[in-house]
Amino acid sequence: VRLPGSERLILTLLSTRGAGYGLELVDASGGRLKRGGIYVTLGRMEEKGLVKSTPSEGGRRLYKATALGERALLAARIFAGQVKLPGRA
Amino acid sequence: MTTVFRTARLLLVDPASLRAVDETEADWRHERAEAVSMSARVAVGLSAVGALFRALVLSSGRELATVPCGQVALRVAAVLIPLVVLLQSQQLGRLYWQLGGFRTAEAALWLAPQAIAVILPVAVFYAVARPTSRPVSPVGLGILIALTTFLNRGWLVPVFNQEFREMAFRAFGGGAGVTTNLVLVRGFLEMTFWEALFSDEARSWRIVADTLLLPLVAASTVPLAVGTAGLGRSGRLLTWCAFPVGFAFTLFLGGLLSWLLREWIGKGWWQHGIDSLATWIVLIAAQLGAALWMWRRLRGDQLHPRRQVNADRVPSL
Repeated sequence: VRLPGSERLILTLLSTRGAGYGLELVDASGGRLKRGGIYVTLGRMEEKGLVKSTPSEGGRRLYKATALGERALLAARIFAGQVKLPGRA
Repeated sequence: MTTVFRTARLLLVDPASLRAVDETEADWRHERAEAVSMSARVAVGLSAVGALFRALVLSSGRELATVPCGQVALRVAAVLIPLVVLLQSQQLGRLYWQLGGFRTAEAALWLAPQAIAVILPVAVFYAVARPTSRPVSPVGLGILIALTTFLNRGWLVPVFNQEFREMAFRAFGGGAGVTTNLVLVRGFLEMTFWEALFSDEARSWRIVADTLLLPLVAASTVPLAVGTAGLGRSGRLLTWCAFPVGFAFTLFLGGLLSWLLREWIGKGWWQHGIDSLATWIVLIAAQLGAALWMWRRLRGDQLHPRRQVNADRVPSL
């Protein structure tokens, strides 16, 4: 799964903070994610199966990372050298 | 703000784009409920407008992908080509005896972009103002039409005009006074957009303004056309007949306003472009206003072009 920067950031936030609304992710990103635009990205990620959402009150949706999303994030971290594979020097 | 969000929904077709707008609206409602002061509510509203604009811009790629390009292009060509030929035949016809058939055809080719620039909004209306195989996204098609018009007006027209001048010089030896004024508007674009914008010696704000506003005129035809496609048969017929009259009348009003502005303002350097600016702005406002009125009147706030498939349920005008 190809993982652009914004998708990787969203997955990182969802995996560290747990499920969250889009607006909460925007606030937690420190300005790296933008209002409005995040829902286009989240929609794309849901199509890829990286996140799933459940309807909540007031038409908002609660997003959480899927198992595929968690694995894609781990793979991206391994490629970036942030996580070392077990058994490797 | 609710109206702004509902209007934005009218311009989209793709479900993911619609969901992005819906969630942005839900965020706005959530934040507005928490805002205690008037200034906080205003700030929340402004932030929501920015968020909506960003959602629309980022959704434009998906909207573009939904446009049935082949079908629309064929329909536009079917309207555009006869109208361009008709327009040129009355102006190039008198040159036929001097230039001969081949040269006249060549002249028609070089002068075609000028005619296309003006006729395209009308052709787009008649191409889209009837049901298509897939719902047409006003945002997607509007972007396509605007880009096409910008490319044509900002680059193709002046380049082809130059080719015409060279061809006419070769044919007449330069003494016959033949210019590109044969078609439509005197001096209609002798410079490309970039030359008009960046040339120190011959900067032309009129050409810059025209080149930026004509694409918006063409794009503003799309919502009106999509709305018409959702009408019943008699409503469509009525709108097809009313469109050229309304288009011409709005052009006349814009021209009148331009003339009045010129009379009031005088001939300062800043006056250049204001006349055409007024015409185009009146035309854009009239087309968007008519589209909004039509959509709301026919289907209320729930209207969406996605539901064109249920067009037979829609009451005619």
